[in-house]
Amino acid sequence: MTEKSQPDLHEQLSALVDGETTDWELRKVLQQATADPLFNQRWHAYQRISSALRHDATGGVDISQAVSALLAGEKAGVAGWLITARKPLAQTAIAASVATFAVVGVQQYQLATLAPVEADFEVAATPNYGMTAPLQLPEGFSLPNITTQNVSSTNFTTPAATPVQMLSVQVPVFDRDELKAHLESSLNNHSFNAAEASQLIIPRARTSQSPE
Amino acid sequence: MVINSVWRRKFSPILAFLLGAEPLLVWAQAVDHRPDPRQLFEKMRLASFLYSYEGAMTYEHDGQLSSFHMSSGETDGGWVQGIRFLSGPERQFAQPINLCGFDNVGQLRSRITEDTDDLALSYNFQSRSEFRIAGRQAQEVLVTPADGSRYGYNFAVDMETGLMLHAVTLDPQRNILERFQFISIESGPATRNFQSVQAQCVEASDAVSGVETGEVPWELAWVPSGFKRVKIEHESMRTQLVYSDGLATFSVFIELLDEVRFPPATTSFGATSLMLNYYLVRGDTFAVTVVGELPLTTLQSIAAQLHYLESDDAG
Repeated sequence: MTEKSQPDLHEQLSALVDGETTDWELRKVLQQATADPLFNQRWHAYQRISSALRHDATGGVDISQAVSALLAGEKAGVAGWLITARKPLAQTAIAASVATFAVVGVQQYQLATLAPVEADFEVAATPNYGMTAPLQLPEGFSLPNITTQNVSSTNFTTPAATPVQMLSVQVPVFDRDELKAHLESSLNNHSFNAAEASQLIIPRARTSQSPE
Repeated sequence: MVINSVWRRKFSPILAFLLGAEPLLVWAQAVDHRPDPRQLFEKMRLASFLYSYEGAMTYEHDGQLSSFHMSSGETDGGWVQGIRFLSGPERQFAQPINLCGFDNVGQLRSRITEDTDDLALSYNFQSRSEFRIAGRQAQEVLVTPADGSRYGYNFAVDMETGLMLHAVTLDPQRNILERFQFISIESGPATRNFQSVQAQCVEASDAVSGVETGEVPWELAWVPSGFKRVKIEHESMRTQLVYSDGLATFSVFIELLDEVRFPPATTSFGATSLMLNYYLVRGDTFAVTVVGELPLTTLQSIAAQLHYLESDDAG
């Protein structure tokens, strides 16, 4: 291997690593490589550079130390040009990758949100009350034996504040219609408040379907 | 051949850069041409005050569908919004548009911009795709919450008038909780007689919304960021506190009880959650109902920070 042919081998070896050689170039590189005792060493070095650059483009791996070590081991010249020429390209690839992720991300998000909008309505994973769904009634203690639990007083600055105690109660027998009416009344009053606060009457559409 | 190969190797990065940059430039130009989402949101908000319109709207939640006739326009009694239920029991509501304190459109626009600035602390705004809805060309605006204490929204803004053509509420997993959507809408010109507005304000000076109307012995030590108290009503047996961040609203109803007649309860439908609990204060039992367009967990956090303020005449 002559000094004149060495740059060609470096470039073609680099192209081979990147999978950018034609069949003819591949045969030529392999023919030259068999006559070069440093072929295996350089092949692995370029593989490490290529691998490090690919990781950097996708995973944010710091390749500076690896590149510096390789630079230190290489003679100044073609190999140095190779690395410095490829780093901006890698940065371009990084930018392109980020841009690609951004575009793909937007498209996927559109699918995630718009597809259900355009399709049939998606039922929420929350329990329904509406006017038909069952209520969730937590367990507690039977009346009149009332127990208390302190639930507040943190982060409160008003000195005259009294801690409020939430009651844990159980009412085994109650009028479900009365409870339903209470909840509907609260929902309707809130829909009025929401419409008033937003200055839009649309929240009134959430009003109970039961006649007032 | 060797020269050609060297030339290709040396200049291919430049070609690759140029070829790779072209799609990026196209993409960047597309992004630049996308309308500013906050301006769209402000346009939508302004249009709701300025335009007269009427149309048919649907409301979907939890697999249920309701329909309404919506209208907004100037009447003898001022500028009034109306909603008439087209399904279920016959009902209709009317609500005045309150613009007291605004002498012209510029003041209103400035206020909307300030409100949107506040909203931007709690929500992120994104412009999305254009599409057709209710026979009109619309621009989609996605408003996502900055924290998990509230829901996100997807609005369709009429590109001509700015009127809201649909409003979708999304949970943190981006599931659709509810959707309001016009299926047809007719709008009039953007007119607003602010002189008549001032006249209405003089006639109904006590009907100002968004203003506290009194002091109450109850206070919330914590609410999600951006929420402000917009209404207080207090009677001897009943108090209500209303908070809003500009998009979501929640109400707290506090009622003094003689007896507990039903157990605590939680429920939700569409974007609305509700929880009922009982509190003991100075030997008195109060029913506290918190309801709003917020996740149930947020309502529970809010209810846990309810405080009673001691005073001689409180309670």
